[in-house]
Amino acid sequence: MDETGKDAAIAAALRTAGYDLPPTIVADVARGHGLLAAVLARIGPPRPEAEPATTFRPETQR
Amino acid sequence: MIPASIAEAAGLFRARKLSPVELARACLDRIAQLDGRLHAFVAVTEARAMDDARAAEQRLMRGEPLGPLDGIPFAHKDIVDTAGIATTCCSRIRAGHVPQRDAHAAKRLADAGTVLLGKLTTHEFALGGPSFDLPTPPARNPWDTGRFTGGSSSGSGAALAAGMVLGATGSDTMGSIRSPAVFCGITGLKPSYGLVGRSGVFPLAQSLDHVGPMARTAEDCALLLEAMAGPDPEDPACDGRDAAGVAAQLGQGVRGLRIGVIRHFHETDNRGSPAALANLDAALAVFRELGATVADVTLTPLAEWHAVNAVIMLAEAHAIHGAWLRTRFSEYGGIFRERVILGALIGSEHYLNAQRRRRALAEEMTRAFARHDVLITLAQPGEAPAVDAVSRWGVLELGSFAAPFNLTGGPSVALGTGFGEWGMPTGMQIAGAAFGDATVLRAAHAYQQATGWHRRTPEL
Repeated sequence: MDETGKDAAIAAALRTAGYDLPPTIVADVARGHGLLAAVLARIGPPRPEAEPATTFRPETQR
Repeated sequence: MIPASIAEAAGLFRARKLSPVELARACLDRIAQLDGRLHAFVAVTEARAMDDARAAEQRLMRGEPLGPLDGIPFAHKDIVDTAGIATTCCSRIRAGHVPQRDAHAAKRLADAGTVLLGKLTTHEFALGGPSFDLPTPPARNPWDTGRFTGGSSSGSGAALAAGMVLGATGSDTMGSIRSPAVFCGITGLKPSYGLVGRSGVFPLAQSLDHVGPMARTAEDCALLLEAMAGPDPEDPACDGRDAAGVAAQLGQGVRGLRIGVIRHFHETDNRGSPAALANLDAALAVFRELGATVADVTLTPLAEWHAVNAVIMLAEAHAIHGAWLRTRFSEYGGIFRERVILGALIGSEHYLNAQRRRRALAEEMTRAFARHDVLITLAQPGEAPAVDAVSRWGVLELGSFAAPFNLTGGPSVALGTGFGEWGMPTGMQIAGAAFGDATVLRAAHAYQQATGWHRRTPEL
């Protein structure tokens, strides 16, 4: 995907999230998103048997 | 005139060789002399300081001091609410905001007799900086005003290194106490998660945020922690225990202490500078000479700890700021808004996967602490960079030595180990198991007593 296409995809994602931003800012955010994508890729899905983070323990006081 | 530490000032007060009013006046004069260059303060509360100092002096004269912090010049990071004093988070978004109540930690410190000198520069909302497009300029490093203080507790680090105050608050979500502690050559403790209540401190990411003490020495951090820790009914994460007796344990030394060195963090995963590594090796030799055992430890690579911390931090920060970002985007500084808006692009599955991975990493750390009393690694890879050369995207560049201990919530103290090629401080962090704050401070104190790097001060 060329830079324009990448920026357009980020702009669309940001609009979905409620942000309508000028192209210069979208381009900056797109640069950050490139790094974020690499970060997210490091955190894969858990093993199927792993306890979900949403486990609720009613006996826990805190 | 200005003592080198809280402990020294308290001794001079007791001996009637210095009065709180004299000390407050000296600190205010030093702020007036230096802050035009350092920008450590966003507000100086001179009238309040002199009122506090006179009250402390009267208590001391009556022989009724409130404790070791009575009359000590202090200042708060500008995300810490102070009743009747603007608390702006160094952001246009909070311009003119004057809280009606002190933050929990601020009230406890005031009740201990500290003398409030003012509010200290922070990166915008404890994340966006160093920024040059905020209402106030970024703080400058007293060792070299062209260099970065570290952050986000930037003013706290600068004010302490410059001798403007003897204690300060900081907050730490991914190293914001420990980075300025190292770059400015002071001492900073990220306490155990839940030990210091956070109500009245503007959050960045609630599951990672810690409030803690910054000072010149580990001993001073212990004295401050004792005052700051305690039940905070308005912080649901607050454990409720106190930190009584932490300072009294400092003199027990480190003989027999089992030190683990996470060598791959700083030699492979994010290799430190030659000076930072040499100074760390020298520090480990000091611990051996003092009777500690030192052995290497292997954990999950640093990048994974950082990745998990960054995803959780950005997602939680966006949850806090999203409503303002959508309607007042241009009022934020560029660095903050472009970092935090990334949180809008983190899906719920990514956030939950990060929390799941965090749990596994925390269990791994707990296993490491079954074999070691403390873990040591660098706190920064080297000396402070130029203030205008700090990476905008550092939060995503996967080299944070601080992140592992925000994820686990265990205590970590950062302190100086010497100086590097540029003449700037280098440092290490000493981390402990949950609520092992006394142990990490004891180790830091033993090292400082044996070396004395903490007694060096910049020429200003």
